[in-house]
Amino acid sequence: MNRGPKILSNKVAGYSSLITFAILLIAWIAGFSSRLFAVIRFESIIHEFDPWFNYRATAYMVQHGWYKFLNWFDERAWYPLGRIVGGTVYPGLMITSGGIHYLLHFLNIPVHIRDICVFLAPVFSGLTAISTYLLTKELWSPGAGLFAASFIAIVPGYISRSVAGSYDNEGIAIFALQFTYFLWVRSVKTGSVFWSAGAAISYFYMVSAWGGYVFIINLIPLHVFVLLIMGRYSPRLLTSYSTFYILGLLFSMQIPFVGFQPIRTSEHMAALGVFVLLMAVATLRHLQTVLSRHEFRKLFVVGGLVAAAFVFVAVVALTMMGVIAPWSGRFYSLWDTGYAKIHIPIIASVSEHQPTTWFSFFFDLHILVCAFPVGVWYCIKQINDERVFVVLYAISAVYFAGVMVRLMLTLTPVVCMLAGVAFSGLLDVFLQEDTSKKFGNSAYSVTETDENEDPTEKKTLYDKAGKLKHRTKHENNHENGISSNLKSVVILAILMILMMFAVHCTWVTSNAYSSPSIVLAFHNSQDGSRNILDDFREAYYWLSQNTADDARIMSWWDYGYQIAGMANRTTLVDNNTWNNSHIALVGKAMSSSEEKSYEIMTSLDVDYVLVIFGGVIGYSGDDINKFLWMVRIAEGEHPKDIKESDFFTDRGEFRVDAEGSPSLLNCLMYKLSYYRFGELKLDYRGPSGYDRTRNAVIGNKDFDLTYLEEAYTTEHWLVRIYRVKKPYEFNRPALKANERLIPPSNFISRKNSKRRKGYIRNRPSVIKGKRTLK
Amino acid sequence: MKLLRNTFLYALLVLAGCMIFATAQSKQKSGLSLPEKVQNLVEMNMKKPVLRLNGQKFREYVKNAPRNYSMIVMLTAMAPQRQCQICRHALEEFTIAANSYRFSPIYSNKLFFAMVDFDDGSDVFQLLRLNTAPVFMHFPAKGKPKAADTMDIHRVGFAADAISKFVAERTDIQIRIFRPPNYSGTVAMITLVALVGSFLYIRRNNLEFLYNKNLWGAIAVFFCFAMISGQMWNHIRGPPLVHKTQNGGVAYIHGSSQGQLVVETYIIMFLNAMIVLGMILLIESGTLKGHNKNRIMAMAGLVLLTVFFSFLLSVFRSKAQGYPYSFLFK
Amino acid sequence: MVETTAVVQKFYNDYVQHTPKKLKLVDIYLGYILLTGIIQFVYCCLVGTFPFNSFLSGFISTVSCFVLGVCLRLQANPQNKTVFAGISPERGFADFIFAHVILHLVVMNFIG
Repeated sequence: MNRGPKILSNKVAGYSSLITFAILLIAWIAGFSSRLFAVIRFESIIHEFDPWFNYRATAYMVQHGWYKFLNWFDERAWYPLGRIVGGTVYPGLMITSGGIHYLLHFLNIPVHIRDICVFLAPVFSGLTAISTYLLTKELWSPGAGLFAASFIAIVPGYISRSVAGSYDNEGIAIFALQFTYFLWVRSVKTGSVFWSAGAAISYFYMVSAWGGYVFIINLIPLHVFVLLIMGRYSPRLLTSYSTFYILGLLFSMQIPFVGFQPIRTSEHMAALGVFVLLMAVATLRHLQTVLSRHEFRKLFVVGGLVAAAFVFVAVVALTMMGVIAPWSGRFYSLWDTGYAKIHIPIIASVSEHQPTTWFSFFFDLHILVCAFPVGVWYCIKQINDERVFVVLYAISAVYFAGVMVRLMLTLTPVVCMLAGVAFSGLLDVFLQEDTSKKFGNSAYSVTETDENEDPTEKKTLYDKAGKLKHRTKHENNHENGISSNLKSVVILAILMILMMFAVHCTWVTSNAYSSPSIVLAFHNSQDGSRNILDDFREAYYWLSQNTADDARIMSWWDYGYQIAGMANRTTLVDNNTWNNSHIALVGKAMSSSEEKSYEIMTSLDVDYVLVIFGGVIGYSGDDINKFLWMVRIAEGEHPKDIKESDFFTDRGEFRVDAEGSPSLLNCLMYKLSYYRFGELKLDYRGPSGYDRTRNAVIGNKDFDLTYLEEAYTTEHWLVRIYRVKKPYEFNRPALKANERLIPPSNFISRKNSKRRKGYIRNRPSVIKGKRTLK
Repeated sequence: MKLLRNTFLYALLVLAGCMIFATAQSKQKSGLSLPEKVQNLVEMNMKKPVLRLNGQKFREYVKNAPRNYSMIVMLTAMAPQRQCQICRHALEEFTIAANSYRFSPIYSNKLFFAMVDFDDGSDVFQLLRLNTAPVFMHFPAKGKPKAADTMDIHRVGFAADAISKFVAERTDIQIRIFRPPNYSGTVAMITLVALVGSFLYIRRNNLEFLYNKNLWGAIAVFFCFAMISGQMWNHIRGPPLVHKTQNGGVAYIHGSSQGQLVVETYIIMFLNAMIVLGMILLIESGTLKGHNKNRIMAMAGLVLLTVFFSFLLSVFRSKAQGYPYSFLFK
Repeated sequence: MVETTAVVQKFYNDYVQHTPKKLKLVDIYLGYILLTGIIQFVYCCLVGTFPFNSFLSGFISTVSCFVLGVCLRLQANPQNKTVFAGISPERGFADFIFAHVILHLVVMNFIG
């Protein structure tokens, strides 16, 4: 009786690990291939805006070495200020790609750094799936883990930021997040310093990768705090958290960008506070074991209250005194949702910072978002230390995802995990067949019995489904009343729903998240062929070929990284947006008249101006549509020169046709977008100068540019580049009155009748035949 | 001769009468001189930061020369029968702006804030050819108000910050808005904490309800529902309850994927709750003992799950143009 | 007051008699670390915080050695065997060494 099941369970254990390995491998391959739409449709290229900077930084690091990268001062960005790259970037992404590049070249496999950058995120998505599996296995069961891994491999919420070509921090940060959480949960369960130190190392990797590490360093203390409140203190908790915190603190300060923030800013104070509190509780508990109850009570009540009050007052006092910086604007706006709109318009203008509609939730997560409260319910019903963590993670993530669309990404892992728990619970009930066929059925049930045989005293804390397996082993006569027909119908329905999920994910990935946004494509309705608009790259290539190496390009900050990455030219402002006044200066130049902006451009030493114009093809993301933001940002810094109301008509509309306001029709942005557009007829039936994006005929058609000249316009007029004329190119040098060598004299007109030029004074009148009279 | 003299006397008399009459009239019309006007305004301002004008005072202080001060006038209709909801809010904001100006260090007698109610001075409305309320106008010291001297409420709203921006644009006087600190939030918080504390203290012998997992589970799940169905978007953007479609019907669901209506979020919350309930019933049906109940529970759970998921999918379809998949019904 | 001194006295007697030698050794080590940390902190308060990263690395090094020592003591205490199931004192010591290795590598990097 003892040997039989053991041999059989070894064999089945072998099968189960084979199945686990196979499923994880398939999840990795599925995740990798589902992110390749853009590469197959277009080519292997870096997408969007931010990844171009990351790519440029990685290329610099690969070329010049690690130390040069850490000390890099980029003088080709934010001219004339420059940017300290080494201290203002999260280097984890560059280190990872650089490391892989180094390794491959060491093995003599020549892969270009661009290909590594493009395919890094899909590769890491597989690793994320594996770490999600490990985390869910710690929390619930291996079956739930496999579900969660498969979900996170294809869910659109994660794919949106990790397609092939989207070379951005989130691609590796989600992997680091899940892995840190897995190591933390493991360390809480075992209380071993090894796992805590591992969690601290993984936390270090996360700090180097993404600014969202603040989430980890607030969630883990919250977890510890809630456990203390619930009365679940144990020495394991003390060991794991104190080791994790102190090692994590030291490691996180190694990143130059983070610097001394972990002991100075409010965002990190919660961790410190909980550390102190935990130490206090540990001391008190230790005393409690030694002293008697009565003596202890006195000490505990007084000491505990005093300690808590002291910590709280100290933190508040230090914050007020300014030693501890208050919450930064980015994070404060998550709490007080009206804050950013009034005080920080740049944050408010980014479309990713808007709140989330239910449509976005369902679009990105489909059935998982409906199933995830089921997981929350069951985790609460069968609570233990680790499940407190996942419930807190779920609640906080769902709140933040509701406030800001961009944070849907942090919600996705926990939704996948809890939905995996839900589906696993569901299928456990309905896949469970009669006990006569027990050993032949799914691997899930048997692995759970294996799991449950070791720590017997922890049986009460683990999930009920496992316990049920135990019971069915012994009570095989008990029928629980659901006929197998009904079970099959239910299983069929669930399988269909899951298939719909997979199909939905593929559809969403293919349609919504696979556009490289640097290459536009649209389909001809008549013959179904595809037109590719490669104007951006055309313009940047022209710039890199036809301008001097140190030419300075002025454009709106959206395109800064792309210009720097593809055209390799100096830019004035870029997507980093760290200097609002400089951006406001560029905005002022764009929204003033040509003369005023020429002054600004000469003072900034600008050689070329680049504008995006979508009127010919109907592209709605062009600079005229963004123009009001330029005006608002400029008005914030120069309220006397730029007034937003000037650019609206009397009735308060923003129009580019003949009824538009004169300030708008004469500003630099208007002129640069619509230069020569008035002569262009897009359609032989319609009028000339018809703007397809604004659906209007433009108001100011025939004008000439005095201070700039057109350098290049791309094929579909999408990108227009102008050269700023130097002062010596005008007919007369523009000398101010006090610089002239010949000072202007008091000029008296000689045009009155007495002293007109060419008029002889006292000219005698000659009449033929008569003598001249005086 | 005598006739001539008589007519001459008559004419002189009439002329004198006219002149006296004219001077009397003009005396009435020109009324106060400039320092007197400014003095009156400053005195009235001492009592109230927003001067209340009727038609006659309006003509005297705002329209007539001489003036060396500008006036920001709000023309409104506060009476309940005029049914102007926003006039009330606009008046509050206007008062806040006027107060901030009045008690700021840059207060001078070059700028005054005034309001005219429709019932007090309807002739003013006719004079300015206005038939909407509220309207904010700036009357400069010299010259007539131009088109830009009317504040465009549709674009910038009527918040005190917008009013101060408008004033700064037209008169170069920067007013720093000082809202009186709103203690209602703090008071509410303190009362809440006190209530919770006293409640816990009263029931301190029997704190079992805190350990009830069902209660915590229900709270957490309800919070998740609220967030998932887009309540934060509603809280921040403040959409309408329902809106009317073009052919007169009432639409409960916003047409595009970028917006949502309040009723729509409640519908989605209900659908999500039903789906979750269905799944929980399905799982519970497998773990409880007892024959008949299990079967019913399982079937009920299955029906709930599939039907409401199909509903949700069809609502999603109606918002997403081009989405090709549906489950049980379109 | 008298009660507290009596309590402390009882605590001290109990400690001297009942704790095994290994744990007393760890306690002496912890006391030494505490002393070092206090000296560093007082020095920083007196002399000033430049260079700040060196002060931080030294101070955090003492705090983390203290924390790791406490963890070792907890794991080596035979009374806690049921709480730390699966971690023998030898395993605890091995973890302690591993954590110290990575700690001191980073401290040396940070100290500048």
